[in-house]
Amino acid sequence: MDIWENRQGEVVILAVHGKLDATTAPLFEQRVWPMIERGDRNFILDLVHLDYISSAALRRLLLLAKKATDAQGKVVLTSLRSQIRDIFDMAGFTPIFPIYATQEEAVRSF
Amino acid sequence: MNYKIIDLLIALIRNMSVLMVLAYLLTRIPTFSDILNHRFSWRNRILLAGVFGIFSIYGTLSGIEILGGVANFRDLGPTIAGLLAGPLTGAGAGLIGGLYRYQVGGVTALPCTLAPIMAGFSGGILFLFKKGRDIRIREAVLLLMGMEIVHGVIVLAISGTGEEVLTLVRTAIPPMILANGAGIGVFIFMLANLNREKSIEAAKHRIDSELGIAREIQMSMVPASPPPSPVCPEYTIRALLKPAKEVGGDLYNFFPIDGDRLCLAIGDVAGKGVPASLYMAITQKLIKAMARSGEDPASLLARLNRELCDGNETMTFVTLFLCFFNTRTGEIVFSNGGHNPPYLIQQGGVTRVAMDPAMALGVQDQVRYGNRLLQLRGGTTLFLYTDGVTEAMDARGNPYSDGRLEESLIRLAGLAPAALCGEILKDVELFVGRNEQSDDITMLALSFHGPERAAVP
Repeated sequence: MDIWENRQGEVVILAVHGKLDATTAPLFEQRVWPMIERGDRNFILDLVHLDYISSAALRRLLLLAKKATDAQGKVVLTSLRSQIRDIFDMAGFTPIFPIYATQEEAVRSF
Repeated sequence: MNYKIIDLLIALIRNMSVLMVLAYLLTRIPTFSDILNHRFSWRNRILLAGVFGIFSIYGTLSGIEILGGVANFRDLGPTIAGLLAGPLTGAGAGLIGGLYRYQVGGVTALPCTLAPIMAGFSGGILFLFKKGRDIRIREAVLLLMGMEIVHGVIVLAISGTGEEVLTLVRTAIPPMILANGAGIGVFIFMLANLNREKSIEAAKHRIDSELGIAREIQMSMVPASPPPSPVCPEYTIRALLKPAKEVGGDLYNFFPIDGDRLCLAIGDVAGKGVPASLYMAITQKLIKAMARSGEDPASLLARLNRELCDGNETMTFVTLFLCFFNTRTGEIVFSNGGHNPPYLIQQGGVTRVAMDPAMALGVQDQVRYGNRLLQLRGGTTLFLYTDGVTEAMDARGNPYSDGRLEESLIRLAGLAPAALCGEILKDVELFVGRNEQSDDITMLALSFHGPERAAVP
């Protein structure tokens, strides 16, 4: 798992590469939680390079969305591959995360 | 002169290394753990005095001759014996080393006989003073360095301050102070590591035994299978749960809610291991407590969801498929919160049960769930599972996948529930190979036999 970080104004763009599973999800948390503590509250997760996401990792994303919402921000997803989209659909989490086809659309949503 | 002292020091440390390897081996024998735990017997004490007495003799033998005397670490063994088991044992080891030194003779014979006895005794005094607490490296090092200074002083006091003795003391004592200090430091460091290793082992043992009990508790929360799972003329039901660790987050349940109907549920808590198992236990008990309220599955799910959302700071969610199965008519009313859709196995093939997407439980408390109807005909099997089956990974990280599960179900169509679950598990295990089980695996199969079978003459 690897996270590429980019910023557009007040929006943090995180491109997640590889697998988000029980082993890598804590690393995601270590990377992202300090950003929230520093005051970031708007996030775009670009998942085009995400190969797999486990339930343990989904829980982290929900927690991220909760923390962002508590701070009057939001978390949106972009560029989901079909198998990742299926996992979000199946768990019924699409109402929580607005999903955009491209990063540009996602940026415009803020 | 300085050059000589450094040479002496290096030679001493080199010779002492042999002793340290032996000391390390000594700490690994079972008797030694009795000594560390302060379970002393006369046999232990004599053994300890003997071994460290021999160490002391080795200290003399491997000493470096200089100006008619010997720079050595004769005092090290007795000090260790004293630190481990008290003044008597220390002095005993010192006596052995001292007597050996005495028969070697020379101008400093008497003070060099006394010094190891004093060193062993004073190590023992520190042992008594610490009253069972661990001796720190610093304390032991300072003690033995102090003893080497005393060693020098008693040589001067007994053997006089002639030119020969004075030069000997001046040359031999400084490297002896350093070498003995280093030696005892290394030994106490070894002891500290040994103690830490033992306490980690003890903690691991305690955790393992607690996890064992937790597993028993968790396994007793799901209906036992094989028997007494219900086997009736109209239907057969069998389930299988295999956590990835000692405990897990998967759950299943089946129990009667009234004369004709069974409540059936399968679910998966996010994550695995102990944290997931706590939520599993809560969910399992809530289902059992709420299911007989007369509500339909969708309202039941909504109420369960509100209960699970309450105070859920960690956002731990549960996917849950829950249905009421009429054992007489084969009618199923189900509701689903984010769980994998089950499969129907019947004549003509294997199909996924269609369902409305709805959120897993525990995330948002206002989620609405829907009811759906499913009519089982005689000879139909409903197969429920968790994603531990389809996401089981082989060594290259490929998932078992929906596709392979469907193929297996087609191949195994016609098997009774117990055999079906068993064969699927076998196939998953074959696929996974030696790779570690990545998630909890649960399956539940329900075969409906009547009413058509009942109609057969």
